[in-house]
Amino acid sequence: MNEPDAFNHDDLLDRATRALGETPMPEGPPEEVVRQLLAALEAEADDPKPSTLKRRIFTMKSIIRMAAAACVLLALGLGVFCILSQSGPKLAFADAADAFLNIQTATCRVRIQGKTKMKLPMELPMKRPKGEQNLTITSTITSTITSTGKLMFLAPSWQRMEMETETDTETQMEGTASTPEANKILKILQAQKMPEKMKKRKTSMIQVFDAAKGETLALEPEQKMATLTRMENMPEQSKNSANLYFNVRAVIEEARTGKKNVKVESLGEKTIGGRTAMGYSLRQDGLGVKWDFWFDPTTALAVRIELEMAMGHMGEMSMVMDQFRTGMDLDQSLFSLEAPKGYKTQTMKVDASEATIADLGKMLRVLARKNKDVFPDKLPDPKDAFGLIMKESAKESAKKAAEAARKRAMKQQARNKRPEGPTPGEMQAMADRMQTLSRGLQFFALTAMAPETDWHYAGKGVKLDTPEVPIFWYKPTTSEKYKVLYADLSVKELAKDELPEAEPRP
Amino acid sequence: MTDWTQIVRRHGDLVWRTAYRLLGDTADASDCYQKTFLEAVQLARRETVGDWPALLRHLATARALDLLRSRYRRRDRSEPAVEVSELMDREPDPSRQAEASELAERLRLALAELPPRQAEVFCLCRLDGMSYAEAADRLELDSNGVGALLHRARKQLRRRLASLQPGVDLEARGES
Repeated sequence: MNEPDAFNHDDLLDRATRALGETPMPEGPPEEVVRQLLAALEAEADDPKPSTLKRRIFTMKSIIRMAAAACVLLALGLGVFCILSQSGPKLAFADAADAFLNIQTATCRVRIQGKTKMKLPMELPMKRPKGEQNLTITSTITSTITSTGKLMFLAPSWQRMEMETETDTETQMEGTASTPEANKILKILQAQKMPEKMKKRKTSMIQVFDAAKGETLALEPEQKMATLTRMENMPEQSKNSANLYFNVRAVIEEARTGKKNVKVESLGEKTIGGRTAMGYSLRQDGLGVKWDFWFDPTTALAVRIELEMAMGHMGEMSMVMDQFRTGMDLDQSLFSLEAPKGYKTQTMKVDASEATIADLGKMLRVLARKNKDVFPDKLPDPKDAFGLIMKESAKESAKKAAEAARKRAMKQQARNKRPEGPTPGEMQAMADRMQTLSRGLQFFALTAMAPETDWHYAGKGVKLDTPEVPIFWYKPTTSEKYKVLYADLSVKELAKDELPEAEPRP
Repeated sequence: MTDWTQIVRRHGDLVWRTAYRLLGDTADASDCYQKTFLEAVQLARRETVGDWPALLRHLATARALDLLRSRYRRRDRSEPAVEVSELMDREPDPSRQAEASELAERLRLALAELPPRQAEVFCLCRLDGMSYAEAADRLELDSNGVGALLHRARKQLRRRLASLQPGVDLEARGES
């Protein structure tokens, strides 16, 4: 790489650079500024502990800036003397959190990486007498997903993400066949190799979210397809955490105010891109979610945000947000919920109301249906929530793909033809099924499992729809009575002395 | 033990010039001057500093750019975003100094809108005269990375300077 070329005197940039370089300037900094600095350095030498805000306040000279610092302190809701004497990581986190929550416009890079492994057993009935099982296959699908893109945030309620996703998928198929004909199909299916264009797929997606309306527009530029999702009955407080940037804000807000089950730990300092950053780890108990926030200690602005999300035996997913920029102009048209011209639009509805015990019941019914109508031994770990939902989604897709493959094998058609995508109706049905699981898990993870909640699960071995048999109960924080879910999915309210005997929860 | 009084006395002028040139304002430059040395204290606790002038120039540049960004952000929020337009629209000053001052102000605004790393590379290489290798050393990049960032910075700055030509309303300029 060559060194910089000589100035071009006709170039506007070079003229401006020269003008800036030749800026006339007063002699040295004012004496008062140097005196303050030397006093601050002396104080630093006497007290080697880092004290970012204290130091910043010490060196602030204008009344306006002193007032700004006082506002920060007041906003923290803590006594000024207490804060100045602490100068610990909690103070610095509150400072950074405050700066983050006050951002009006921001852009950043988002990188998401995930590796998932799913085993999908399925039966492919053939034209045989009812009850005869001809072909059972289990596909093991291993996917590596890498998404990279840009996120834009415009206060108070807009977010736009432009993402490129690369998916690398490996499939292994094992199976049993009960007839020679089924065995022949199994062999054909096993011999088929996934076409390269399906194995390695690259897709683009633009997603615009309006928290005030609770609507999301997803654009697929290659297919010229626009999907508008309406989140209906969404509680006001949930609107502020319903999408990536808003979720980040909500977690920071909860950590700052010490709410719920978010724990904050200092990660100390590290150099990111040549700059010193101060880190804090935020863990959401019970959800298997860990956030690491890195802030610039001087400006208190975010430098990097990392998310790790465990999906139980399904794998794990991580996300990094960096290259933050704030305070720029962002055109409102970027956040329009209207599909561009030439796009085919479909609309979906999602029930975003607060999940209830009835939603847990619906989820348990789905799990029971998979287990010969018997409720599971225990409730799924919320850490598996994402994986469980993904699996349900993948199962539907795999079913369609396998059915298409079976037809191709039977007809000896071209092998590389990609199965058609789901219709809008199928998409809505798929979304509804996934919703059933996600709302049940949401209720369980966020409401019932809160540390202060008294809850019990007693569904082990109980048959679905058995009347008068309680399978789950909990005490809402706002009520003296317990809510009880029965095996027929009815719900009643009972006093504590009316509850069935239950083994203590492990 | 680091003799900070000595370091401030020896390199204070360099820090002041770096800050003032980018900020063009005594209050902001004073702020930047103090922040630079205080950040240097933190750095010196963690590592041995071999080249004080290079370190201080880098820190002063980075902090001055932060202040520039904050300044224009503040103006965007608190005032109609026409300050530079007004500057451009006013009657041409016959003196060359006024023209230079106007150009410098335009470049400050353009630098504030650049991605931070590009802005730093541009300032270190084009204003402070650091070689690619020196800048790379400071920014923990390789020389090719510095070259690439500088190329992008120049391209963006040219475009932004052009969009800030006299008469162009800042409200109307869009993000790329």
